[in-house]
Amino acid sequence: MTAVVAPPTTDGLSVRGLSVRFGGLVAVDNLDLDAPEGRLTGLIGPNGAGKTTTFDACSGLNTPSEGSVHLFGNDVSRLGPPARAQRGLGRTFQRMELFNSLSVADNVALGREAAMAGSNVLRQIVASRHEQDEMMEAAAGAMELCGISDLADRRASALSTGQRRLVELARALAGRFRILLLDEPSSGLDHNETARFGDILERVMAERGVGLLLVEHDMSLVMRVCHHVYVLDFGKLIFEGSTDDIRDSEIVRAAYLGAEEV
Amino acid sequence: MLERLARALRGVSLAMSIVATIGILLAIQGVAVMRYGPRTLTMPAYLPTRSIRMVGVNVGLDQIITFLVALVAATGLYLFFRYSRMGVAMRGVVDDPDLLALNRVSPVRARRWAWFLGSSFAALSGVLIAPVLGLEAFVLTLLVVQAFGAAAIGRFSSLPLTYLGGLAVGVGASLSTKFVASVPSLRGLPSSFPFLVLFVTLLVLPRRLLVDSGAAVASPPPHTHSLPPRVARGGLVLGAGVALLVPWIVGARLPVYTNAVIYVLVFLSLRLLVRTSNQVSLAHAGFAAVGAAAFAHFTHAGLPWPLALLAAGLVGVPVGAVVAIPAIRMSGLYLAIATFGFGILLEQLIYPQSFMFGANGSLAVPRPHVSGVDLASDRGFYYVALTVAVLASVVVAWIHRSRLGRLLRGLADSPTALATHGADTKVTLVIVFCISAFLAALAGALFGALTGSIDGTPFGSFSSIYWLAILAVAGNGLIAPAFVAGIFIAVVPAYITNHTIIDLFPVMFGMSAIGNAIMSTRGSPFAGWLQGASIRSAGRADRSPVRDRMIIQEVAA
Repeated sequence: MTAVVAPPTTDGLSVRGLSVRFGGLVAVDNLDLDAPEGRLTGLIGPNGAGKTTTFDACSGLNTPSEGSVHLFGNDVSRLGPPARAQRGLGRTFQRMELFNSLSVADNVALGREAAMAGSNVLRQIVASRHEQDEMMEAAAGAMELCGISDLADRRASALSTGQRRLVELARALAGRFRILLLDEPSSGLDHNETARFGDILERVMAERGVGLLLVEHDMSLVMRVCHHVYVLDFGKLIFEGSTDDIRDSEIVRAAYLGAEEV
Repeated sequence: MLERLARALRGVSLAMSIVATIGILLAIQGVAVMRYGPRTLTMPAYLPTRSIRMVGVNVGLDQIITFLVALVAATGLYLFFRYSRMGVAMRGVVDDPDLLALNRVSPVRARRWAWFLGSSFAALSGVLIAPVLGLEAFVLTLLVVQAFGAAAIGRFSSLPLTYLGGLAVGVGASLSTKFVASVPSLRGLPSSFPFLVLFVTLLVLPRRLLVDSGAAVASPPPHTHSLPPRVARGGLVLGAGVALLVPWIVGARLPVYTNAVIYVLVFLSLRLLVRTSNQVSLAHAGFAAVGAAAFAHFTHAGLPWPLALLAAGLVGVPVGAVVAIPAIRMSGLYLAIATFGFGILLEQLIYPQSFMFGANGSLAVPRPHVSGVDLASDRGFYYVALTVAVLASVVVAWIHRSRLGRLLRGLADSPTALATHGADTKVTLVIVFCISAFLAALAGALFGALTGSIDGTPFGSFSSIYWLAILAVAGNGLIAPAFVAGIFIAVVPAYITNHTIIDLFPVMFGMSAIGNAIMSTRGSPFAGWLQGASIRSAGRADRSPVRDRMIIQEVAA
């Protein structure tokens, strides 16, 4: 096989030759993936295919054994999670990581404030008035976009799973991220909630023009919102293409959709 | 019984589970001290002490037997975990109890057996070591911390490596005895050697081995009740009034109250670290000791009193930063052990140095002098301490409302989310440990000024444990619990002359720390009532326990 590896793109997140091993287990195997700004990219695959591991490698939460991660043309492979976030990469979690003891408004505001604090000692301690205003504005905008403004004063731990997913999305949207990784945002949501989530994602794309990379199990959601889809199986990329291509692909059907379609 | 407790503690926040562990430790120790007295009991050597010559060294027969028992125990455990059904089940219970239950193995039974095995091995080693070390609750507890050093060498998973690690630690400690004979300033090295090993091993171990399995448990938030603002404000005014009047009421017992006010600093510092940020430090007594020593030196060097106080606090800061290093790498139990090890290291290696408490082990510490104002008397100094405590309270309250406060609360709930949104949590951790150490060092300095001279004894590493347990039972508010805890630790014992009750104190605090930790997750009406009650009493913090006692005394007189 003569693999011609394309150079990393400069318009968003670009992963080249990524491999992640845990002991003898190869969770991700030589993966190439692009998630440019302005595109809603899907990443699908059966359980254990390495999707969340890929996300963790992108945001710097694990250590890949090989490969590189680029953001807007810069190699960020050696940077920690905060530094990558500062360069425009945000994410949500499959197992939600909310600030449970804080209110929804504080959760969302912290999404912006964390980036302002960065790694500067003084800026971690005090917020200027200007920053405070900016933070509140960003939080209000993000909550509005996700339709959770009415929950602002509720404590995050007191919400339903569907509401919590939206809080997490709003928190990420409050940050100045240009690429967002969304890890199974519809898991734990019922049919209506998932449909609403799809509406919100489309609004986000239309209003913010960010790049979204979506790990998702709900195929109807993927088929509806995604422009371009990657399919992983056992850590390997087995297919990539538009949603129409996916529907026609025999390989994908065999590996993933198989049971339902046959 | 311990298994029940462990089950009740599942899902409790990390800091609270440490608090509960400490509670058990204090309670059992307290009972042991009450029953057998604080002195070391000696135990007759029950094994043959005849020695034989082996490869040119005299070896006691008892030592050989001990060695063999340990070897047999280690081999037995190794085989047990590897091949027996229960052993495998025990390993499974760590990873996923629910999955185990699905496979028709009761996780409760597995845990019960694990506790049973653990306790019997601990008891066995106690029996073996008692003739060598003597029986004393504190020494034997330290032994457990040392054993963690060996376990760390075994990467917490390999029994053969742990066995070797244990041997290495023991041999190393003995060898260092010879080494330090020529270097007097390292006198404390042999006894602190195991803690050095522990601290260093925990620092160099790969981080993934230090992931507390409890860390993944999402803890429900504490049920905090807040007082209506008017009540809170009323309580504050009342408390302030009482605090200002204390010197005119309590007479000769005033230093006790000054002590309580100084303890407020300690508890504020712990509050910020443990409750707000979900971190643990069992090295706080060390921070205070460093502050006390630095303050003594600065005042001797002629620095004006307030400047020296500030500088003493600042000296605590780098020490706090050092303790932040393990906090960056680990959490929960490992952090508690690492910081406790660090506290013991400070106590044994650093306290005896002449740059700490002087060549005689004790330094004089002056009180402030301002011409025309009486600050050096007991009454004057009470107000000095009160001013510092109030200033610190204001600062802590301000921190809570500031960006740092929000970051710290975020850190307690989800450090991962904080990091992936761009905040460098390492910096946040270092900041909070530095602030905490600063406050504790201030307290140390004031302790010195209160008593007039300072040495290492009040800052024993076990004080840190005691402080943490008391904070845990002092309620959920922000500032008030620090005052409550200060009164608990300093004032209440001064009014109780009965020694049995004093001895009971650690047991009581231990028990209530456990209770509080368990309650911290339960939404039961009882917990609500308990916390409500603690907050209600916190509202009249400075008043109730003290005043009630005073009234009783007056009546008695």
